[in-house]
Amino acid sequence: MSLQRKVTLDFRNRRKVTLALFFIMSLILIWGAIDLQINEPVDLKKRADSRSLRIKEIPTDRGIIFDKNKDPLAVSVPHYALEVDPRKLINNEEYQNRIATILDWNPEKLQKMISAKKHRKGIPLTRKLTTEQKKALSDLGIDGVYFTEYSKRHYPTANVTAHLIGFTDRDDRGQEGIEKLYDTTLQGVVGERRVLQDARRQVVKSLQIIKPVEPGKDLYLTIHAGVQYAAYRALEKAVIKNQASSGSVVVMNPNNGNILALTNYPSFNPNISSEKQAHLYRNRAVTDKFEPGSTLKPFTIAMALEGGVYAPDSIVDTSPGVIKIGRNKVRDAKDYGVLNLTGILRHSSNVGSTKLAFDHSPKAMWKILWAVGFGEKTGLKLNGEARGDLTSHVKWHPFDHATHSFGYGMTVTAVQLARAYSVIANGGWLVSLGVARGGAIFPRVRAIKESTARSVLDMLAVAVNEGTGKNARVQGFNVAGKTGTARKLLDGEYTSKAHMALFAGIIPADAPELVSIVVIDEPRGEHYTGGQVAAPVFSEIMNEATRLLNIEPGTSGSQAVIENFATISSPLGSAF
Amino acid sequence: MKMNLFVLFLAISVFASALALVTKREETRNFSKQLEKLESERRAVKQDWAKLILRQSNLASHSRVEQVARDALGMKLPEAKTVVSTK
Repeated sequence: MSLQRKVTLDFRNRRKVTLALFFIMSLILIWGAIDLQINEPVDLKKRADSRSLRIKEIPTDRGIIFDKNKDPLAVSVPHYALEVDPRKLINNEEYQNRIATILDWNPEKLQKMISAKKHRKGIPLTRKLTTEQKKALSDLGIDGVYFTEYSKRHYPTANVTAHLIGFTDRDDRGQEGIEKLYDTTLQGVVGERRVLQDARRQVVKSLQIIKPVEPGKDLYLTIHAGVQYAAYRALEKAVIKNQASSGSVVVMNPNNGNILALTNYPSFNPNISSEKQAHLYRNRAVTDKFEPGSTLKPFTIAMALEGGVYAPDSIVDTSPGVIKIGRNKVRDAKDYGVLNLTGILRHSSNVGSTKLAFDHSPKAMWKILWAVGFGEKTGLKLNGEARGDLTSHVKWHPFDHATHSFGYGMTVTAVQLARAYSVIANGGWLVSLGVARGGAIFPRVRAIKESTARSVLDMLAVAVNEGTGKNARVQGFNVAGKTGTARKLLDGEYTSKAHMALFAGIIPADAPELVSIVVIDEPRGEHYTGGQVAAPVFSEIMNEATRLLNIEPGTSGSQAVIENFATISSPLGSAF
Repeated sequence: MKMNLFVLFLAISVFASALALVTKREETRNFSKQLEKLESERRAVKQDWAKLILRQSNLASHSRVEQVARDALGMKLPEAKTVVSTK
């Protein structure tokens, strides 16, 4: 009995003690909560901020743009900007002096900057920190000195490739040219990770990768930097010498549509922001339309040959050197009399071309122009590419029918003309143009018969060797090509004061490997014709290009060319 | 008795899976740390490479080579009559 009582008593006491303990503990907890909430809120807030979860970007660099031979054309390199916290440096003159010494600044200048903005959290000092300066500054180990990394694009070939490559904005996003066209590929994808960071925003611990980073892909172009440089230099020289307003050159491989060089003058230096002026951006070879003039005549010849009525040795009487169409007249420079088809090209006879056109329907004329790619885009996809104007033959008056046969009443771009000459060069195939390796490959389309292409090519070789294109000859090679001197439209009328000097050439004529178009706009010097102004540029560029690309000199007829050829000076004068 | 054994088995399983979870989480953390380190290394190496090819292309630029050949080395393009083609 007494035992049981004792047990009960013990149990009762134990319960009381336990309850009391719980009560005291909850009092402590409540007091703790009140204390934290009321007495020390500032300190707590600081501590919460000091260790916080953040999502940080994992940066990636923009891909490099290379030429055909892996020479860089656009490279992103990291640079560092320097920022200091005035609140942490204001009272430490020694540190200020050390920073000034490293930056090569006057110490007073830095002191003034810091004391003027002493309440600011951070002031940017410079965006142009060298690698050595950055290392020296971080070796100082001063609190209050911060670096921000940013990426800057460099263009080693500067003016030479400016229009083609384009440039990026401050955030490394493509704005013009290839940089814009392939922006997504070059850009890559910035990754994300979850981190724990302290009050100074230094990462304490990296917790998790939320989005994996995808580095920007490098891009390989079909451009040959050496040929591009030769083209730019020769063009620059010609535009200056002939006091022209501008010029463009396109060099391409007619067999696959790859562009080897595409350049314009005047140009700009994409590395210098003050030179980036909107009126200089235009990639004229792609955006500017012009009337092709006589450079179109080979296609009129091709039409005649395709029609089956004419053969290469068929003759056309061009006397008396003028032909009346309604109220208009088509004239030749002089009366060339009876010419065969080669003769029409060689003397660039407008009357002969008109007679060939009138022996065929307007539809046949239109069809050949459409078949070689006029009036449609070339496949380059570059910013602002023009389509050119080729109106339907249904709307043509007889005079339009005539003018189309010698390149007036329609417009083309330099790249379109290059593509059309490729049809003659590669045996009659229309190819799509491209600047990047591994781009979409479109099937080539037959535009004209192989025999037609071969015949026209042979005639174009004669036009260079004996005709208007003599200045386009290249030592050791047989060149095919056609000059053009197109009068420009001024206030709706053709003027004899403003011209476009053109040359379209194919080399080697025996087995074509290159097609090149030279356009010189408004030469105002002593000469203004395609033969005098544009043809020599072709010769200079091809002299370099054939050597750089290891193109073997041709066999048929080229020996004669070597013997008759005067010494030519290269635009580069280099022998590498 | 049988029932008790089963409960024991379950308890051990729960404990084991809890342990495994902790280890795996730690492993993941380590791996992602490693991945991050390697990625930043890759980026640094690529940046160095970019700097180097930029320097190389500056040194080998056509305009510089032309200038050095002409001015420093006194080189010139051979005249047509002095060139012999070999096959």
